[in-house]
Amino acid sequence: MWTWFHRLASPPSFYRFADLLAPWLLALALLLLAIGTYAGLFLAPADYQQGDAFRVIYVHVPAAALSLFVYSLMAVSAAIALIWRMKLAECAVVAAAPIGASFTALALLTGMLWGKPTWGAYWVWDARLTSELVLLFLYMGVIGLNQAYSDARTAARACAWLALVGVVNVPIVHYSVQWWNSLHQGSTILSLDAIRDPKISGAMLWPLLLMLFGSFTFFFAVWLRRLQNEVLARERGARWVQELVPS
Amino acid sequence: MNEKYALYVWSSYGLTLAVLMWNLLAPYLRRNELRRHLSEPLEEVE
Amino acid sequence: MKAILRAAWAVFARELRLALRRPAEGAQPLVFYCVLALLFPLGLAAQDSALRAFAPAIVWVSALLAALLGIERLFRSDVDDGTLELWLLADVPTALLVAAKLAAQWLLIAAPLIVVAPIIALALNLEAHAVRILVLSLLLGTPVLIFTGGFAAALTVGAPRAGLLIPILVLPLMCPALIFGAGAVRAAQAGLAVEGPLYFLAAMMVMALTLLPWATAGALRNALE
Repeated sequence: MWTWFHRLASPPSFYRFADLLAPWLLALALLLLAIGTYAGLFLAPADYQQGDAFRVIYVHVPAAALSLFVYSLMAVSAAIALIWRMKLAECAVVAAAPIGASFTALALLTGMLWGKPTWGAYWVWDARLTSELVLLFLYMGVIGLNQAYSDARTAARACAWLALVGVVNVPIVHYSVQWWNSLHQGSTILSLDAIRDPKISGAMLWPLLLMLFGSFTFFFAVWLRRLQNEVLARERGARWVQELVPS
Repeated sequence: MNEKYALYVWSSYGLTLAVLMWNLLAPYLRRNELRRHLSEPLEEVE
Repeated sequence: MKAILRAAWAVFARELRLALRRPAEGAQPLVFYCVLALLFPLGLAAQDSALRAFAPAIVWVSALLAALLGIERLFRSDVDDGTLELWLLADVPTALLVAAKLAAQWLLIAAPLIVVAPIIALALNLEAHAVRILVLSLLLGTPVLIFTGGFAAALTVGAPRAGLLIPILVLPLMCPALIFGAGAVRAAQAGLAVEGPLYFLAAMMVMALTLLPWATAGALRNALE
């Protein structure tokens, strides 16, 4: 198992492995997303409280779940990169950040579009929204830091440090905002949350599960592609890259 | 679909589509750019 | 052990000596702080009663920005004159030297802010009890600001064009301190218990003081490799 893992982590074999895997993942993801979207928009029954507005759930929840998952993945890669100095893990940190940032922004925007018809406001300063916003800034910090260095390895390792410190920070932000709200306004948001997370019925649930699976598969597919690019850019002098490219 | 919410729902699905497309296209374009760079002689890289 | 402490003390003293050679430059954050905090009332209507409600946020945000003011240059001269390389080669944990340097920075940047804060707070119509809590919250919170700023400075030390990046890096890391710091003052204004936010601030300070120097040292090592 470990030798297999080591071999996979070497750039050329990773590159080929990703070439094999990514198209299948992408096809599966697009299929799941297509069915999920159709089912979410047309097959799932309208919610008795929110009407059709609840259909935003099918894009909002996967995006929000991905934003957190990608950050955790980035932090794990960062730890691996810093402890074992594994090149592929460094690439993984850098490759995950733009995808994570895009889904975080999507979660925020769709959340706002969902909030307006159901809460009556695009934005409330509650713990979830604020920590999601902070998460977006963390992602943007990683992206910016990566671009600020001319040396790719130094950049990636600086990003890894930031990702690690950030992962400690996110729960602190969450709880601090929760406390901050509890001091000020009553728990109006909590009751709103109950509307937002209704006991979901089966007919509503299965499109959501499809969308969740589809989004995660989609992430892995595009992550592999970005990883390939990172590897390619760093190994541009290596012979296997030269052989790969028709000159 | 209820008219009242149509704008919110469709625009959130539209945004999602845009994000997915961007995630698909960005690595593809970068890869082409990299390949172009790589097929040039090594001295000219960077 | 004794040698390690002596090294830390040497770094601390050097930092102070270097700053005292250029007192005008050292006073910049303080002046910036005063100007910034006193600009807010000018943006409001004269005698606006909302000022008092905004005062905790104004004092805290100004402190945060003042702490960020020169942070970009924090390690740059140490890199240029080779000090940092000696730190990394030294037989002493780099994190400890980093902590010593940041402690000196706290004394140079944050301590004057804390001394001046009560005067500014009075100008913003805070009452005496809230001013006392403000000072306490700044005492607990400014180390968090300085140490986070140091971490961001270390991340960008090898990147000359990263000046505008620092606020983005630092903002998410500093916002809990802002929430609890300003929150404590607001609680004092409202006559509520202030212990909660102050304890949170203290916990964050302990975390910042113990964990961030290691991350800062790691980032510095990476930037110089």
